[in-house]
Amino acid sequence: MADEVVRVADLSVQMVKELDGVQSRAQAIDGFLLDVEKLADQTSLLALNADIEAARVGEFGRGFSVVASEVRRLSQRSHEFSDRIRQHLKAVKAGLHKTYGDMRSLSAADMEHALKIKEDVIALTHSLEGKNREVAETVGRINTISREIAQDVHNVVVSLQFHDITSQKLRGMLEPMDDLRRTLFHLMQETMATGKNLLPQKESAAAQTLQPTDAQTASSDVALRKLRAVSTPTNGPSVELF
Amino acid sequence: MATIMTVDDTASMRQMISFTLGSVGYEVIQAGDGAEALKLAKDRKVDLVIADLNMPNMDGITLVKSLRALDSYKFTPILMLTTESQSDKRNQGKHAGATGWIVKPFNPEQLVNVVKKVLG
Repeated sequence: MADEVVRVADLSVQMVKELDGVQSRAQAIDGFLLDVEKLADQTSLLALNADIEAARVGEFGRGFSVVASEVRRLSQRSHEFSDRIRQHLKAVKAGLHKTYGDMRSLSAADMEHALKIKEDVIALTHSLEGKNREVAETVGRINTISREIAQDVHNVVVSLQFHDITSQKLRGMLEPMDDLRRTLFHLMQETMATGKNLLPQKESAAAQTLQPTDAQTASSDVALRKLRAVSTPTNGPSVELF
Repeated sequence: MATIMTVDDTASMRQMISFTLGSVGYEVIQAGDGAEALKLAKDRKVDLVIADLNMPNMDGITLVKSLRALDSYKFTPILMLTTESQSDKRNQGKHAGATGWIVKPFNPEQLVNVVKKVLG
């Protein structure tokens, strides 16, 4: 677009040059008119001489004198004609001069304008390039951020599942804990019963009575095993297709 | 796109599965226990079931057996998604007719991959 404006300005400069040509041609016409006037003057002088010569030959030259005066009249008319042409030419030259001046200032202003527009367009292009770079950088940053968000979402999805895992494990612990509580309760009851009978007995017998029975040992073992099973970390693959 | 049913008594687990599979374009419907899942499965055709093991009303193993008893779910893939990882539990699931076993916590990409594989 800037190039187009510069081309228009170039055209107006060329038009000024052509106007220069027209002006120099008008000048040449001026010169031709001078020649025409000179010719008319010489013709007039020649007619005058012919008239004098005619007067000298008297009655015989009368007819010739008429022709001579007619020739002089023609030369006068051609003088007048040339004058009128000169006047018109003057007006044309004045018009040309004015147009020439206008054209000159117009083309100068046009050129200046065009160059200014070209500069503006170049500046605009530069600034657009800068903006483009900024947009590219921002897009890059957005990409990085969205990758980070995707990673965060992934982590959240995994982390939130631990709530469920923990509550299931806690639920699983309730039953063995209850078993253990019952076993301990029996053991305590028996200890208290043994304590009442302890006074009349010997120490060794008391120690023997205080030993938990095989059944009690077994049931507390089962409870502990269950507890361990609940807290056992994963075994086997985390994904298995049968 | 295939319809997947997630069965779990924990709402946050159902949401995580819906979110993970929904974001890659699957339609995901939810059931809070085995009984609800069985009813939903009879009402509409489900292409894949992802079920928890321990649930109130009807547990995962019973759900698998009940679904396999239906003509329309004889060959539908059923994945168990559970905290249980012991081999005897796995064997129970396998004998009931489950297609696969995933131990919690699931990794989202891994889940998507397994789902794509079984929906083949």
